[in-house]
Amino acid sequence: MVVSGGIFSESESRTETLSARKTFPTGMSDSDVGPETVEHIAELARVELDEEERTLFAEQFEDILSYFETLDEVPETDREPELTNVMRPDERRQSLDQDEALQNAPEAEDGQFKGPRVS
Amino acid sequence: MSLNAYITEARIEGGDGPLASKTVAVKDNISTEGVRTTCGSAMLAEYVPPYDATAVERLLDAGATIPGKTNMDEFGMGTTTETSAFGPVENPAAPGHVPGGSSGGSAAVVASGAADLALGTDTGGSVRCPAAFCGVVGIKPTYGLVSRYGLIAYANSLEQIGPIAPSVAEAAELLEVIAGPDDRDATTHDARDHGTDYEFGAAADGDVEGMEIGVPTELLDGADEAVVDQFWAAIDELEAEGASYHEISLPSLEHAVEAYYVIAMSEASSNLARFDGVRYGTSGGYDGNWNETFARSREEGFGEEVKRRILLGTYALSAGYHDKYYKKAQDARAWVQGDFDAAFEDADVLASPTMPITPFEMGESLDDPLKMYLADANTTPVNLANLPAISVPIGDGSGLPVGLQLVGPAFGEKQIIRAGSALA
Repeated sequence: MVVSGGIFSESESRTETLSARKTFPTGMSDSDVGPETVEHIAELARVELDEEERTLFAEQFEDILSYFETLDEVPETDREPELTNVMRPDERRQSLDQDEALQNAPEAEDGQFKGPRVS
Repeated sequence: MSLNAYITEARIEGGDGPLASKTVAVKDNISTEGVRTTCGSAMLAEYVPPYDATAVERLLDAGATIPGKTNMDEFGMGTTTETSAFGPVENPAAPGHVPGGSSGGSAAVVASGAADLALGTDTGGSVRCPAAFCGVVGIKPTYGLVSRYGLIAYANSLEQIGPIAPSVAEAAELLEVIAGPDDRDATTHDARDHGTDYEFGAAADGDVEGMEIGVPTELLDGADEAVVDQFWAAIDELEAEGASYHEISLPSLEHAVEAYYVIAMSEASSNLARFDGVRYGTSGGYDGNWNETFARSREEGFGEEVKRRILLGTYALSAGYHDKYYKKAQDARAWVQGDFDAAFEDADVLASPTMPITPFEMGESLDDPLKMYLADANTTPVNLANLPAISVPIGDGSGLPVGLQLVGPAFGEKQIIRAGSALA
C-alpha cells in the first residue's frame, strides 16, 4: 500500500521540524508521564497547552498508554506489505493558480504567503 | 427541533444522471469548491476549498444535488460527533443519545429524511458506527476503491469515503457512483483488476442461498446482551434465507483497537502538522517567532480530542518509543490481516455486531476518552486489514438501534451488499 495522494498529502516535506524521531530527556520511564512530559511532547508537536490541559492530559495519558502497552503481547509478524510505486510522466499539468492557492491565507503579500519571522 | 446535523447548508446543483432528483449530503471533511469545508474544527471555520474532491465531482456528474455539509467529530476524531467545534448532533432515531461518529451528521440527515443519501468517511468505523446508531445503512469500501483526493486527511493508510443510505440497495447505488480509480490518488485500484466489477446496485438481490458466514467470537465477547440478542436474531433470519454460519476465533482482534489508535494517532500527528495558520487556518497575527506563533494558532484552533491525539501520536513516533508502540502496532496490523485472510478461506462474509453497545447518552463518554476508544473494538479491525464492510440496521436492543456488520474479503463489496440486502 502506498500512502500518498491529493494536494493535502503532498505538503508534508515542509514540516520536517515536526517529523518523527524526536528525542526525550533521558531517564524518562513508561510510568512517568507527568505534566512536564506532556509539556515536552506539546512543544515538539507545536501545540501550546494551558495548565488545566497539561494536568488533564497527564492523567489520561497514563491510562491510555498503559492500555497501548498490551501491544507487548503481539507476536512479531512477518508479512510483506504489498507496496508498489505509482509513477506518472514528469510533465507539466494544470494546477491551482496563485490567487486560488492564496485565497485561504490569513496574510499574503506580493503573491506570496506571509508568515511570522523564523527565529 | 434542530438536530444540528449540518454545519453549512448550501445547495450545490449537479448535472443530469442516475442521481438526478436525489439529495446527497456531504461530510464536512470532503472538499467542495466554493463552499466552506471545516472538518468540524475552529481551525478551518473560514476555509473555502478552491477545488472539488473527486467523490464530489462524481456526485455532481451523476446529477445529485448537495444540500449541505454535515457535522462531524473534529477532523473525524471521535465516536459520538460531540467533539465538533460546531456543537453536538442529536440522534433522530434515539433522542437524547449521540448519533455515533465521526460521520454523525451524515447518518442523522439520512435517518431524519432531511437528505436522501449522504457521504461519510470511515477511518476506524466512522461510517458504520453512526449508521448503526441511527438505524441506517453505511458502507466502508475496500481501501483504494474510492478516491481520497480532496478528503482532508486524518490517517491516510486507514480511511475511505463511504455511502450512507436508508437501504442497502441505495447505499450500493451511491457506492457505484463514487467508486473507481483516480490518477490524483495513487492508492486507488481498479476493481476490475481484482476479479470483480462495479455493478454494486445489481448485487443487492438478497440472495444468500448457500452463503457461508463466519462469526468471530472475539467480537461478541464484550458486547451488551441486548446487542448480542439482536445479532443472533439477524443470523437466524439469514439462515432462514438459506445461509449457514460457523463460529471462528481470530485472536489478533483482541489487539485491534490499541493498534488502530497508535497508527491513527501517529498518522494524525504528521497530517495535522500542515495547520499552521499561514496557508490556511486560524491565525491571530501573534507576536513572536514561527514556532511560538504556530503553537499558539494550534492552541486556539484545535479542540481537546485533536490535541490529545496529536500529542499521543507524537509520543508514539518519538525516539525510544517508536519500536514499543508504532512498530508493535504495525505487527498487530499484519497479524489482523493474516487472521482475516485465513477466515475467508472458509467463509464468504464475516458477521458481528457493528457496535458492541447501543448509543451512548449525550455527554456520557466525553470525559473518558478510553471508554470512547474501546467502543470501536468491532469496526477498527476492518480498517487495519483494508477490507470492505457494511452496517445494516437489525432492529432495537432495549429500544435503541442496533447494527449488524458484515465484512468481506478485499474488493468483495458485492458479497457484503448481497448479504446485507437480505436484511435491509
